[in-house]
Amino acid sequence: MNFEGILYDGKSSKGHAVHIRLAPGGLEILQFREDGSEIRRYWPIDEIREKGEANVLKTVLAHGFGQAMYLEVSDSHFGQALKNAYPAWSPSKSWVKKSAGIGAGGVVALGAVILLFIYLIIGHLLPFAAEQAAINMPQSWETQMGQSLRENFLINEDLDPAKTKLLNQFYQKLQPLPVGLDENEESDSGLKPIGLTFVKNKQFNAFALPGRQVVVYQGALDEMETYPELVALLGHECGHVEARHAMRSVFRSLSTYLAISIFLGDVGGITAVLIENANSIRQLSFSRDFEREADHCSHKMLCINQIDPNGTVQLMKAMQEISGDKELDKDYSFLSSHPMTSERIENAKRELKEKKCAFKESDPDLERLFLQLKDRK
Amino acid sequence: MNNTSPRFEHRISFAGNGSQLFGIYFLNVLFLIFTLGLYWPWARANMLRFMYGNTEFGGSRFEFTGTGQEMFRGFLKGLAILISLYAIYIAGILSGNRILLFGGLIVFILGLAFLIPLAIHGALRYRLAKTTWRGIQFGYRGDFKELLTICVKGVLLSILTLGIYGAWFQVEMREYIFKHIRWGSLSMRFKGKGGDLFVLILVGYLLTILTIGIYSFWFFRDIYRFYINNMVIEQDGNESGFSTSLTATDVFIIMMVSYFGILFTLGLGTPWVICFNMQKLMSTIRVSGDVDFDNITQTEANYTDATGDDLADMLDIGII
Repeated sequence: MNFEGILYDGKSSKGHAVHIRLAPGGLEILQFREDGSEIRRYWPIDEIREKGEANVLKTVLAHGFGQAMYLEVSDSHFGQALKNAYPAWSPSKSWVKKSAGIGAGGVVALGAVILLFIYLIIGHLLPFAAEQAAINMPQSWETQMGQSLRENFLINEDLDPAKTKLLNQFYQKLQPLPVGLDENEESDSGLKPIGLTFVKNKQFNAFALPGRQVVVYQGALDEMETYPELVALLGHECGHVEARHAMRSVFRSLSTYLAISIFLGDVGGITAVLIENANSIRQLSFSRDFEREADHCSHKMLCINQIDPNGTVQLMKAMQEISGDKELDKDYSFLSSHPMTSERIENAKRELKEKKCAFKESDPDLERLFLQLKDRK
Repeated sequence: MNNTSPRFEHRISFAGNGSQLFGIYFLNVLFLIFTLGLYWPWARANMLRFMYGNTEFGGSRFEFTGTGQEMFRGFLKGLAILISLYAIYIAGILSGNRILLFGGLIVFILGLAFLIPLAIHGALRYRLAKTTWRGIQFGYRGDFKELLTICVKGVLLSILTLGIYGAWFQVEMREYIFKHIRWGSLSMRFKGKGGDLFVLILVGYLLTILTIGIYSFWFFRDIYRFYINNMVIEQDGNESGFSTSLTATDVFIIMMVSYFGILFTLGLGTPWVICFNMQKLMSTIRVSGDVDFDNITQTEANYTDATGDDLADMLDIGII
């Protein structure tokens, strides 16, 4: 088969009209000079690459690299003729060429794959990696971070040293939760005991900080009637501590910000996010899964200390009363990520039935400390 | 130039479409993620090949003949330079010593100041050597020391004049660069004047502020016109000039398409936006005059060091 084309010989930009023959193993290109003489060129097919991007109107072939020769053929049949004559020839080995012009269906499919991929990374891979990082982070770093967070958080709060001491005494009377919530873990793991802080604030609040710290607000204590409720609250917060929920939450949310910044190409913004995020830890809202795990610890804490396990349900009912289980007030924002209180009460009741545990009627030491904390000596 | 109608007139057009670019663009993103960014030079080579390969002038398309492999070598060198600069800077901070901190900062700033012209120089050399049209290779023959001198002088004077000299500095850079660009046997020239650019910028800023931003479309158009309309191509004493018919409406459309096309598609529409903008910008350009583009001869030598090109991209310097 013969075609007409224009040859650029790599020496000048002047095009030369040529005849092209699809010869066995390559193209035969015949150029007639003005003086009537002719130049015959042979381009072996495997030395030819197709130039540029997909173009239906014109086929452009190149022979050689850098200062190559180019052959332009404005015949829509030429491309197909090449494929037929040299079926083994692939004009471009790169996937880039193949991916070009994938059509509308291809675009949609590819878009879906990309979105799925991004979802898998942001939704699963990164949180998992972040979790591993949080769990394997040296305790000393966490302690250091917890220290500085504590200073920042409590800077505007009115601490109560006397009651902090009482609260710690109360806690020390209790058998603590197993370290890392691992039953087989030796109690002497080298980790420092959990430190508690009491804050004079009428808000119903209590939270766990990185570095094995728990903060309890006066407002929470005011709503309690009996000391098992305080044990349940401490069980809940210490559960957060032993499961390292604070660090895991920080790492999780950071990893998401990180991923979004990278996808948006705003790597410089990460620093700003880090700073901003350090502040938002203040709210320390844990995921519902974390809250459920901590609720189990509430029950566990009561059981291992042989204290009335109804404490968990009572504590939650007290919480329900103030929140009214309505849209939660901004002041109680720490509750917002907790599973709805009525749901939690149901869970606690079920646990009470399923995991029965024996308990002593009363513990005079705990009772006394509890009343002192409530100013009802 | 004579006063009769130009002997030759050519248009520039961009033929790439979004769905083609989408395939390239997002496979690039996937590979970048899989390779933790190491795929970057290949990703760039793919993009450049697409952009150049779809730009048509005088019925023939340009070609970018650079490869990811070449650019990867440059990428590693550029990365090494940048990392060592940052390392010095960070070491200074970590030392806690004031003198070391200050010294580290000075080295860092001087290093970057030196790196930017180096990146521009290297990028021009590599990028142009890898650009061909009808097999004719482009080239850049500038000298790094001369460019550095212009940069140092420009930066110092700009600081001394509180930025006013910036307009003259930009024009001087362009003049120098264009003077050393070769398109085979053709050479180029930038005929713009620093004073004109200064007036454009001054008036543009003032009117943009006075009109609460509305004038920015005209401002952008004027700047674009200044850069395009002052480009001249020379061939044995003959000249052809570039001109653009870009209007403020075009600028408005480009900005709106860019903004909404990227925002409302969560970025997935970026390839279409890029192609749309390229088509719009390129189609306004015309090259007319006495230069015979069918009569360019090959003059430039091969050049394959891509360090400058990679550095320029890392430092976010736009070239061509």
